[in-house]
Amino acid sequence: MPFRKFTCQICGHIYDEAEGDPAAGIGPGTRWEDIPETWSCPDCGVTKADFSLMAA
Amino acid sequence: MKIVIVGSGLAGVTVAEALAQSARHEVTLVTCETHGYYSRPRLSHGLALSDEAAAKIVMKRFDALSAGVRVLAGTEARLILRDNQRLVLENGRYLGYDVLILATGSASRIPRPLAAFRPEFLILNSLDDLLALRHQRATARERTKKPHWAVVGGGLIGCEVASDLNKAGDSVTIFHREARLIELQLTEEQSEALHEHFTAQGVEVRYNQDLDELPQPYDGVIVATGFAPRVDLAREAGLATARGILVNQFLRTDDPSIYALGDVAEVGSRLYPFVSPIRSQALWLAERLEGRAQGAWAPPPFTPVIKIHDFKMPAAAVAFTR
Repeated sequence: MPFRKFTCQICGHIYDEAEGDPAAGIGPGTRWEDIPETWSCPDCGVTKADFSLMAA
Repeated sequence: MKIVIVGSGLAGVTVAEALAQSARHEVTLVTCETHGYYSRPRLSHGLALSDEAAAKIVMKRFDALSAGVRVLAGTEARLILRDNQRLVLENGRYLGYDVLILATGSASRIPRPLAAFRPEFLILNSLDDLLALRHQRATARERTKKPHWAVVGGGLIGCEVASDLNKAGDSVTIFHREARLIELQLTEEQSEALHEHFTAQGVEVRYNQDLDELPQPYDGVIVATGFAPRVDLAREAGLATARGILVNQFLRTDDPSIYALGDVAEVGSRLYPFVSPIRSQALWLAERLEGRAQGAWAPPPFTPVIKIHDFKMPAAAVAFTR
């Protein structure tokens, strides 16, 4: 499955599965489903629930 | 109800869109802003972005907000006539309201001795400020490959901006009044770790710098020394204010038809200038005005986000004292 991108609906931050979020210990290639629920938006702090899948 | 909201940041826009959902109210949002809705936390990392990415900071133009929210953009609210429940605008027109919501946010707080030097320094409070900074950076880069910036203020925003300029390839010197970085939100250990990170990245930090003039010579000086809630509109209307507009646990001011939330609201002697609690206030207030909220607003658990490139904040209790 190709990597997907998710965008924070609150601030616009984009989570790219290909890049991950290394600063939070989320390695490149980490799938959205595999990110722990405790993870939060690195720009504004809201939770995973506030992200939506971006159209490819 | 006629609901008038002042301010188009996270607080104002979130409460406006939530109230528009029921289509039971006439919702009008008054704002000085013209660009549209954007998230201010992103501004401090808006320097290393490409022009294309920076253009995407605006998430929604005002005409793309929910149908049912009327927006008066580029319009300053001047005066609240509380006896008549009217908000007077800069053009002399006024809006009648049943409920007035003040979400006027905060401005940059500039140390008094430095204020006299404006506009010789830059700030970072709005998208216009970011665009001015990006312009100055582009101009500096025509003269020199590696512009050298002075960032006055080693708090949260100052450190984020310094990190972003460093990431973009520029030289940065931070002038901080205190003896350690981001002392309001970080523990001493975390401040120390951040100092070491900055040192390794080539960001210079000077402590105990209580400046009364601008440092020089630099290609640009950015002053990031805290924020000041915009309380003028409320104070001139005789509402109770301290650092922010004083509201109770129901986000109501001492006038029963006027509410305040976001950076400008002081709830139980505390300000909540972060995305999670502000969003929570906005959604709660909309529920409250729809008659659905049970009980008072309570802050959700949250941790301030501090964005430093290539640096993972060591886990520790965050000393959140503001």
